Order: sequence, then structure tokens, then C-alpha cells
Amino acid sequence: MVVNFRTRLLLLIAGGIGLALFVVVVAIVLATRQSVSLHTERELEVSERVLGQLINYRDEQLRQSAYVLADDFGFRQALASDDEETIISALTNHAQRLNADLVMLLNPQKETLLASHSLSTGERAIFDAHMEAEAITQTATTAAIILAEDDAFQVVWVPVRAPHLLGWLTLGFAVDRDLAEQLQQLTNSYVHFVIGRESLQPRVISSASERIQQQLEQALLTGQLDEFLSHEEKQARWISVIATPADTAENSIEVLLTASIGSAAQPFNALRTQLLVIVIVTLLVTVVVTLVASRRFVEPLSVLSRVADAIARGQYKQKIPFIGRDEVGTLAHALDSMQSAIEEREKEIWFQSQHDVLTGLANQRAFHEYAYHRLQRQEPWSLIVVNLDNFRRLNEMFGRSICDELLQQFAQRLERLCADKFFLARLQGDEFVLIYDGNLDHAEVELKSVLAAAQENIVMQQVSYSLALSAGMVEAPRHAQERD
Amino acid sequence: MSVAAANAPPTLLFQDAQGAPLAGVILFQTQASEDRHSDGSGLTPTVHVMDQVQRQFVPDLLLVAAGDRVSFPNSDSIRHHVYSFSPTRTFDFELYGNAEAPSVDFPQAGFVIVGCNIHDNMIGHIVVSATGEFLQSDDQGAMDISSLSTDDGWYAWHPWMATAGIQPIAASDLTSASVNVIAVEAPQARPETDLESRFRRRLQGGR
Repeated sequence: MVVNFRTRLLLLIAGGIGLALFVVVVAIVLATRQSVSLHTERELEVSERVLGQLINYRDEQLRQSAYVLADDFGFRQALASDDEETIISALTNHAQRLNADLVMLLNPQKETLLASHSLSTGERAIFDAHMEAEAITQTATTAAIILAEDDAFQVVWVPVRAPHLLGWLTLGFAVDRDLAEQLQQLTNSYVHFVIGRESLQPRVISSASERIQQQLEQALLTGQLDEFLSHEEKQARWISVIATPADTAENSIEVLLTASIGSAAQPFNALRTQLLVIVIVTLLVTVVVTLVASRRFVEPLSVLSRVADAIARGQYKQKIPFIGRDEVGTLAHALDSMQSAIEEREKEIWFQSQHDVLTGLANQRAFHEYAYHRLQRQEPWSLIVVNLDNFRRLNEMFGRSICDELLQQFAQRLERLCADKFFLARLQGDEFVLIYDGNLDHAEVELKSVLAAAQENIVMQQVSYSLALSAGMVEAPRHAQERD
Repeated sequence: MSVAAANAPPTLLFQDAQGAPLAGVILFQTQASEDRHSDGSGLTPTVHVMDQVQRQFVPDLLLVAAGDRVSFPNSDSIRHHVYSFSPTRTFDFELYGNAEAPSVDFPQAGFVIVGCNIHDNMIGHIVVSATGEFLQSDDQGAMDISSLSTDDGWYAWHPWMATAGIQPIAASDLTSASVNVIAVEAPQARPETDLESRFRRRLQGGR
């Protein structure tokens, strides 16, 4: 495929600028993606700290409330009554004052006396571990989340004294969707409590929609968490804010925080759109400017190339606009002088090809062409061949240079005599041919006068040379159809 | 109270906040023209009973005359701690079982709200009228007041007013010309909570 200069220029410039823009855009997109990722990661870090504080704060609050409750005189009186039903109804009544979802009464040795939920051995082990850890550190700074009957509860336990230690009141508060949603609002990230992450049946309590919750459970089950997260355009962070000393695969409780990459990317999306618009506009402007500029550069060149083309076809009268004084102008000048030079030379060559060098008469080739064209016309014409019969003898007698001169003189005479009447050509040596435009009869009449005048002696440098002429005639197309 | 139509039997109409007829409005008297007990006329005080059955007071409303006594037996297997902080009569019977039946006298007219310290949902009402006379609105919210000779010392009260924090309304502020609207609402029926049902199952399962 031939690509013209203008298109090449356009492709080159637009391609160059396009490539530069592409590199810039890719760099920016990569940078923003990294920035978004970093931003999301930081957000998750903040969320993690906030979540940790919130859960510990909640633990503190629940503990305070439990202390107040355990201090209630009537409550203590009921617990001290040693009547199970009274104790139960007081426990229920008072636990409900705090909206507790789980209540347990332990004896001073921390064995269960009464409980709203029955804990499995594994669940109980976690609970015991929490209590032991707290008993050792003597502080209550770490929140405890336990499982009871497969549900998760944040629990606090406080002593009940009357004034000796009556037992331990344990209150549990459901770790449920409501809590997750509250935490989401405060942490600004999705909060998922994951129970038994490594187990055969991981369960998720999520602040996100039910659909997400189920998908997350499925992803955890099949070990395709990363795929799930990338599909949902989320970044995640596992946190172990809740100490679970007696973790087993089935009973582990962890928190997964996820933050949407999309929301962090939002401000960048506008930027990306702007960037895209800028790229498109720049490319368009580039194309337009290149087209306009290339028109200015290329137009003179294409004019000149058309001129050169015409010259090649033999037209030497091209008008060449002289544009400027630059290389193109120089080229135009060169072309102009070139075309006149070629014209001159060609004329000369043509003339030489059609004429006899010695006499300047039309030569054999010219005669052949003329005869050929004449034959095409299908009109009668006459061919007369004239021979200088004594030329060979003259040649021998006077030498070549004299005879050449003689031939020239004779030719001039013939030319003069034949003007307007005959086409004259020198075939070779002393043989001339005359063509008359008409039949033989007319030709004969004309020829007689010509020959009469032609065979007069030629005087050169006081020497008279006699000429002996002979002539033969044919008529075409009567006598011949072909040139030969 | 302005009795508008002399020939028609004077009737008060009551409605609640929702515009429904309010039944059970009680008209009681705070002061008697003469004290029928302290004048030594020898009338023996009546002893009323407010029982405790399945963690509720039965009946949850008692109408008594000033000077009467109320006894609070416990028919539950659970102990109760019955108390009142009402200015009309304060009392406190700390946790007792069904072997005991403490009682208390009500020398003064007014209304008394009775509670149980370990059962927040147990609420009883005792209305003490000076003379022992009461008027009550029926299911249509209508109260026939033709037997009433004077407004003085008569007050209207309804148990729901305690929840709403409304004091008894003087009878002189009521009208028979139009409907008397008292801004109270029926208490929500309270479903059994998760903890209660868990322990109930446990108790029933254990016994």
C-alpha cells in the first residue's frame, strides 16, 4: 500500500503524541490505583482501631451496668434467698433491665448455677479461658466474645456480694446483625464477625446485605475469599481484637473488616474522566493541526510532483508557481529550468532523428513515417524516386568532401523547387524521394519542371559540375498498398 | 362539672388518646364530710385481698374505703417483694413466700401503685375513696353521675394515667356537655422475652 507523505506525517505526529499520552494515562491510572489501595488500607487501619476501642468501650459500659445491677439490694436479696425459682425470676427480670440476651449465675468457684443458655464443652472452655485470663491479669480491659448454643455473645461477669461473695453474675449481649450495623456506622467499614473461619461450616454475622453475608460464608467455605473480595471490589483486613485464648477451629471468632475500593476511587474516577477528555481533545487538536500544517508543507510539493509528472509525459510548458525561497522554491526553479532544457534537447534529438545530417532534408525514417501515414489515408498519391546517376563517378573524380558539398547544393535546390509541391526526403547516398499529393498524371507535369530545373549544372568555386538525374514513379494506392 | 341538661340523666363520657371509649375511669372522693372510722362509730374495717398469681397482682385493681386493710398473699412458688412508694400509703414487704400474707391499712384517700421489687412487670393499683363510694365508666366510656350531689372532693382517675404521669382530674374540670378526653393509651401487650421462655422451659423441663 502506498502511503502518501501527508498520511505518514499525520501518523507519525499523532502516533507520537498518542503514545506519549498513553504513557501518561497509564502512569496516572497506576498511580491512582495504588493511591486508592493505600487509602483503603489506611481506612481499614483506622476502622480497626475504632472497632477495637468500640468493643472495649462497650465491654466497659456493660460491665458498669452489670456492677450497678449486681449491687441492687432487692436483687441480692433474691439471690440470697436460696430459692431457685425466685433467683431465676430475679435474674431474668434484672437481666432484662439491661437488655441482656444471656444470663448466667456462677457460684464463687465459677461453676454454673443457673444459665439461660447451655454451653457445650468447647464453648465453656472459651468462656473459662476468658475468665482465667482476666483473673490472672486482674484487669478487665479485654472484651470477651464467646459462643453459646452456636450464637455469639459479648459477655461480662461481675461478682455479687452480700457482703460475702454470693457468686458471679454473667451477662451476655448478642453479637448480631444489629451490632454489626452499628459498628459499621461508626467504623465506616463493613464489619463481619466470622465464627469458625477454618471450620467446615464457617458462619458470618455481617453488617452487609444478606446476599453478601451468604456469599462471604460460601467464599470462606471454599477458601476463595480473595476471589470474592476482588469480585466485590473490596479490600479486607482480619483483626483479632477479641482475645480467644481457647480457640479451636469450630469456635474461633474473628472480625473481618472490608472497605469498598469503589468509594475510595470515586474522586479519582472524575479525574480519570477529565483525563480521558483531555486526551481525546489533544489527539483531535493534533490531527487537525497536523492536517493543516501538512497541507501547507505538502501542497507545493504535490504541485511540483504533478509538474514533474507532466514533464515526464512530455509537456514542457508547465506553469510552475514559485513558492518561497526555501528548498521547495529551489526545487521549483530547478524544475522550471529543467523542463526548458529537456524541451530544447528533445527538439534537437527529434530533429536529428527525422533529418539527414548532411543535407538537412527529411531522412529515410521521416520518409517511412510519412509514407506510412499517407498510405493510411487511402487517397491517391505518387512516389517519385530520383537518382543522381553520375554521383558515384563524381565521387571518384572529385573526392568525398566536394561531393558532399555537391549533395548539399543539390538538396537545397531540390528543396527550393519542391516547396509546396512535393515532400522531399533523402533516402541514402544519391537517392532522393519525392511524394506528390495526387495521381501520377499531375505528378508528372509538376515533376518535369522540377527535374528540368534540378539537372542544371551546379557551379562551386568556378567549377561547373553537370548532373545526370533519373526518376521512377509509382502511384499509391494504385500500385501498392504497403509502404515497401 | 356543669350539669347542662336538667331533665336528661347527667352522664360523663370518656375517651382515650386514640378517641376510643375509655372504660374503667374511677371517680373517687378524697375527703368525707365526716370520718366514719375516727368518730368511733364502730364500723369494722374491711380486709381486701390482692393476690399474686403467676407474677401478676390479682386483681390488679382494688377499690377500698379509707381505713380498710389490704392483704397481699403470695400464691406463686416464687417469692415476691411487694412495695409502694405512693404518698397515699408507702409500705415495703421484703421477699416473702406463700407462707406469709402481709397486710397494710389505708387510712388516707387517694391512689396507690403497688409493685414487686424483683418483677418489674407486676403492677397493681389500689384506689382509696374517703367514703368508700366509687363511680366507674362502662365499656362505652359513659359514667352515670346522677347519684352525685356535689363535685367537691371528687376526682377522676384511671390506672393508665399512672403510666402517662397524669394526676387525678378534679370532677369540677370535667364536663357532661362534651366528651372528656384523657390522653392515655392502653399498655402494649408484652410478649414473653427470650430469657423468660428459656428459663420457663428450663423450669418446666427440670420439674
